[in-house]
Amino acid sequence: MLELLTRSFEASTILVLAALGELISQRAGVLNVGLEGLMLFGGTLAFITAQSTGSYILGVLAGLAVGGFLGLAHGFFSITLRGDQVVSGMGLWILSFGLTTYIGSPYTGPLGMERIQTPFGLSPFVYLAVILVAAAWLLVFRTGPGLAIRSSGENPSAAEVSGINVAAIRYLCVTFGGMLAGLSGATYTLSYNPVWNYNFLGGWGFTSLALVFFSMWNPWILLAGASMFAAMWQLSLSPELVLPGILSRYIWRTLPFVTTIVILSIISTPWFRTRWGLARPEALGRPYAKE
Amino acid sequence: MKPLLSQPRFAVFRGFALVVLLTLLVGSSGRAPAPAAAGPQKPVTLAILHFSVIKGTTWSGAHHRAAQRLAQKYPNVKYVYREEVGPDATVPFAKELIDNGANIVVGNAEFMGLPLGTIADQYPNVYFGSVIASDLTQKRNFIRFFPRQYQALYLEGLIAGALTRTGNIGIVSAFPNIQVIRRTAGFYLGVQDAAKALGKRVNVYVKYVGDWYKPTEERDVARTLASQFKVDVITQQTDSGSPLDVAQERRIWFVGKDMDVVGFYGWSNTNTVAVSFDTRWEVLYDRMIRDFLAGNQNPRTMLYLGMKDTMTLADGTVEPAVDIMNNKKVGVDAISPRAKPLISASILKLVNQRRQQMMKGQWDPFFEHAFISNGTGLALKGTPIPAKGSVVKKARQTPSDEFLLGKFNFDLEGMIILK
Repeated sequence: MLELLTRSFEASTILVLAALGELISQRAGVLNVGLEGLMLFGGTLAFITAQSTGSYILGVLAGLAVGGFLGLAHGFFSITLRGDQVVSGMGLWILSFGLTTYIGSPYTGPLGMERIQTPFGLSPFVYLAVILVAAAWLLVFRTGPGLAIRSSGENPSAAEVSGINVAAIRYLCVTFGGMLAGLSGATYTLSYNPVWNYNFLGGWGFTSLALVFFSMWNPWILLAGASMFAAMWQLSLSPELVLPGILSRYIWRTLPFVTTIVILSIISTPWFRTRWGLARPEALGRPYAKE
Repeated sequence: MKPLLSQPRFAVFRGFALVVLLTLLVGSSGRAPAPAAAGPQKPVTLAILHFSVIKGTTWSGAHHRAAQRLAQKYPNVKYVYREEVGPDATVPFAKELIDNGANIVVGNAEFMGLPLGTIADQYPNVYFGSVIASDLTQKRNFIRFFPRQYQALYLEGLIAGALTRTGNIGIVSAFPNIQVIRRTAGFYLGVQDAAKALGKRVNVYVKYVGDWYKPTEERDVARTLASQFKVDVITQQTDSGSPLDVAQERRIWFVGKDMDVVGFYGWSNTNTVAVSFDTRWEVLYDRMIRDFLAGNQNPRTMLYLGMKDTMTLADGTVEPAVDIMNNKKVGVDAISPRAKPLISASILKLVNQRRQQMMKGQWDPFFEHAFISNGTGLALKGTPIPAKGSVVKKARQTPSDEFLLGKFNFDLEGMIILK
């Protein structure tokens, strides 16, 4: 059981970091469906940098930097050019998928460095993720800048009238979101599975994106959702960790996805939408033109 | 007096006899002469459709290396390729390459077989080829091929069975399919032969991740095998480097597949990789090229080559289609210097003996051993999984290639397939 929990926390960290950045970006009104691409790029450059320099810190910084840059690029398309955010995000994902495969292929294989120390059996990224969740909650719900972020995502015109620079807020948030996506990728390739393989995430970025909607844009619910999904993921892969010999592997493997369908069904009911629908940022995904 | 045949009236006969003698000499060599040695040859373009990227992959990487080696050996052979070819792109890319002069078009994933076979009739002068997973469809100019990797896997199994101290060996596997089942059977027979020779019990655990390439799942499954099932030797029937990394992390032995990843990619070292096997697709492609150069309108359409089938590379190295290999060493020398002292002399001798026998075509694990069903595997249409304990093939019987490639759908008795 302890191993299941440890692995679940480590897996959930990747989801949490990416989803948390996206949550803040969405709170400001910018949707980035290319999250997986940012994670792929962050993870790839972090891996290459760490392997080339022998420094984990430089690797993490490279992941943050490239994630931030791609977030900024997405901001340029969706804020300055007022392009369709879904199209821009998908473009980033496709670009990243192809480019990381091209750039990373010569680096295929294990990282080949001493492992990152694991205080109390957990990667330091796990602790960092929890701290960031708490910080994000405080920022969004308990501070003035948080109010500005939420205002930009709810009613940008009103926010602008009240003196908030919506474009600047959105740029900051989407760039910060990109940085966290890059950090998430770095966490994967430097700590969780320190081996470079093309398309190594296999859809975890999209899972992170879905978790943001599941969380109703609340960091603590996000943490809980990510932990639950990661635990189910681990259980579906290795039921022997707690329930050896029970049920077929095919049934176990469906567990996370069946649960996802159930949850999505519930949150799409009129009752749920009426009760919780207000949590969705009103201006999410809509370009803002200053009047 | 001159001998009878030296007399002028026998000059025509002498010429005829010389031609017959030369023909006999060439014919009796057992294989066609190397085209490079036969003077100028017509140009041949070998086109490979790689289903994945080449760099950093052991499957497409090995096919790419094979074609490069052939181009190096035969100056008249040109190699062209396309990467990341999906099912929808197989025919368009094949046609494009043919339009640009390709004479032999090969797909290195089975999903390319059906589309290539479909267009084979449209290009009667082009050879088409596709690796086999279970479908054996052939046509006059549509060749199916696969190496007998199970032979090298048997040798790996001997080494793994001797190396394990916990008595537990783990296999991170893709999903039940004939290729996986056949290769795993070769490995398993080797493990059990080593266990029998050493008088110990060895469990082989197989855990599926669901596909050939799932880096994250492969890692988690490898960790589970190490932590829950106490495996101290791990191997894989999947394609990512994750199980190798877990072996390094846990300081357990790794047994590699498809390619010598230490020698060619430097992904690890012999402190982790006990042994690996290397697939030389060039030996199979070489047969196609030689048939083509010979102007054969009816080439061999089934190539299932093993350790007894060899070719000579440009540098003079004679290599079999498959062999155990590690850090660019072959045979018993391929065993890690750190692992070798842990393996008893009798097993080392057995590895060497079996390898030599297989290279001479005198022995084969699938001939020697009975196939007794474990009751698990892959149910095929018209071929259900044989009941547990049923003897599908007796010992010292040769299974047909068609059976091995298309109907071997059950795990061998004693294997532990995890849920």
